[in-house]
Amino acid sequence: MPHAYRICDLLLSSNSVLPELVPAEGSDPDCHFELLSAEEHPVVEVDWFHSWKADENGLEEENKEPWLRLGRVADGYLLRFPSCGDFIVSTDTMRIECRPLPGIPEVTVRHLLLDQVIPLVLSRRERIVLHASAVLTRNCVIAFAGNSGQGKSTLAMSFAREGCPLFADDCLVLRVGLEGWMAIPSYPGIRLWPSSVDALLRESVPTRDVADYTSKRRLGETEMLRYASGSAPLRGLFVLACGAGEVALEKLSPGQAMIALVKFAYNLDVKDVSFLRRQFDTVARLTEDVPAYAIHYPREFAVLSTVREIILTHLEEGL
Amino acid sequence: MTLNHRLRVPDEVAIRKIDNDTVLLNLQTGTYFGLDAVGSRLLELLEQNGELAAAHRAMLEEFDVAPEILEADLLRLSQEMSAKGLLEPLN
Repeated sequence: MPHAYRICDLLLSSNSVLPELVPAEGSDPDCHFELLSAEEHPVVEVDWFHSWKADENGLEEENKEPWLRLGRVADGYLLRFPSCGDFIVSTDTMRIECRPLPGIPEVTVRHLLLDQVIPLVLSRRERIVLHASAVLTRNCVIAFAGNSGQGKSTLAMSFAREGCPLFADDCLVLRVGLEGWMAIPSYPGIRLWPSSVDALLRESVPTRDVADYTSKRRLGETEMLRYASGSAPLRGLFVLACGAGEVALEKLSPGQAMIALVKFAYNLDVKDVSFLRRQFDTVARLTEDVPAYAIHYPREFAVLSTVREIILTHLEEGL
Repeated sequence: MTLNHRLRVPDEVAIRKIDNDTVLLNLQTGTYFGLDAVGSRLLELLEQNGELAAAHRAMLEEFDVAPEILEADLLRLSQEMSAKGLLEPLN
């Protein structure tokens, strides 16, 4: 009997337990995940078309093999994490199979599934999926986009610590309708470096391993840390522009915002021309409809309260 | 490259004008490029007949700039965009 969960409004069934997600009701899943044994590694013909050198923290080592390779196989896409294993996503994105390398712990497989593979799968199913964290404030969502390792989660956590429910850690699904752009909450989980946990959480909270290759910690829902559960209008987009100077907010023109945001859109198939054209139009519409800013600040925990204050004051003034 | 060159936007490039800015995307390479108001005007003029010299003449009328400075700026931008596959020789 498969387990069922909801992540970014996707009803996901799984042959293995995913304790990071909240169980969901539903007999007609949008997508099924199958964790196969490490031995099941058939040779398949792959048309490799893209690779990511930098890992999920934005780190790139010279002469190191790619962190992730993407290729086309007969019935879909192959996502190969060379140090962890393969994920095969069917063309219709209704099925994900994982064949981990021998010895890879399940916690690592789950992290790659939830935080790497599913955002890419969603990019094929949704209008747009941003590599952004987000929080709920005054019944609206504000999103923080930035490069890996730039502090999106830490900034979101600093808002959450002051009572703003977390909306997304680094995968934000956006839909557009009659009411404008709506943000869809991801799932109750945020990943932080131990230094961020120590600096932002005054009392001890239970944390879990994220994966076997990182010291990051995963925080689930607690009394102190709330997560949003329903969609909400997107009020503003903030692009993190960390630097050495003072905290400052800079309004981006739609063109500047488009260039800044388009690189933070997840995209499973960067060679799909019709998809790229649609995504281009979607980002253009998003930047015309939703105000976008660059938020400049030095990467110090001590300035986060000032960053929050500037953003919230700006929201109160109506952006 | 000189002002005698004629240039066009390749078919595989998507263009979006937003306010005074223009954003281009090369759909084959995934390369994005943003143009400010001046760059957007150059692109607009190139889309008319592709002549860099004609664009230079028109922009001299519109902007308070020395001819040699404008020429250098237009050639630099055209070269940069050509290198990114966002402009190509006409005919």
